Amino acid sequence: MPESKSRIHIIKRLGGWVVKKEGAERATRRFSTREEAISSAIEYRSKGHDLVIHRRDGTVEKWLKRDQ
Amino acid sequence: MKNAGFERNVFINCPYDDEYRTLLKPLLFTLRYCRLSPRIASERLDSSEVRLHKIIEMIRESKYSIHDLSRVKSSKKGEYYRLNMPLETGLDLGCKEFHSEDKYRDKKLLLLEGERYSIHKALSDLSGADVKCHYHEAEKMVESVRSWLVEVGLPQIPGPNSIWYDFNDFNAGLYSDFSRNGFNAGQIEMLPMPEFLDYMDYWMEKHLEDDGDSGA
Repeated sequence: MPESKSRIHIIKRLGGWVVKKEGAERATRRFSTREEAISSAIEYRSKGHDLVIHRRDGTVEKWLKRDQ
Repeated sequence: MKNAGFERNVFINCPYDDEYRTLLKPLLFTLRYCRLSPRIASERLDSSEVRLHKIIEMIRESKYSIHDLSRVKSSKKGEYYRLNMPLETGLDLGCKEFHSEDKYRDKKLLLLEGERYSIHKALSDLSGADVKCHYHEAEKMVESVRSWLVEVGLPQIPGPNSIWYDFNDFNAGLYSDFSRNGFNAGQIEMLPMPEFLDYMDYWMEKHLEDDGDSGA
């Protein structure tokens, strides 16, 4: 699997925050707050995915590497 | 950004301060994603060029233009309001109305504001013009510009979800590739505009052209 396809993104969308796999056309899950979205997505790290947490403006605030 | 020819060029009239970069980046990305070529004053850094001449040249070369007037108001007591952006809007309107060549009659202008109806309060002569509000939010900027491109009749404009999600993916690519080359987060945020635009073109080529469609 190419490295970029293994990234999971936390993205602001339509008044809430979504969890989305890179390259996917649709979000996996939707939450009211960013904190909820991060808590939900943190499990992906143990499955070999990097977690990319975005700011409201789309830029990257934090990059959590996958668990080794 | 390359001059793609009159029919694909979009002149951007906006502030160029650090604070505005949060809106400028999604604006540039949306245009490029829709196969248009944004033209901005900071696209090339040649201090010997007279700024106004450069702007007039870009207005003349662009069928489309986007004028963000959301930041013309002074924000604190004693601060001057900004006149560059209304001046450039006037130059573009003048080109559309008075240029001797017919093609300029078909110029399309979008005015952007940060609060609903603020342009009409400050510039009531522009009542009836295409105005959209981005509410100072990157996500709304994408949606406003994308809607306008559909309204002016450009075909095959991707949906707002595609553009916004890919803009976020693009930012991750930018962060990853530049971090690998020794840039820190602050340096990545403040990349010189020509370098940012070059990377955006690289990313688009890598991620969209191979799809064989518009990325929708």
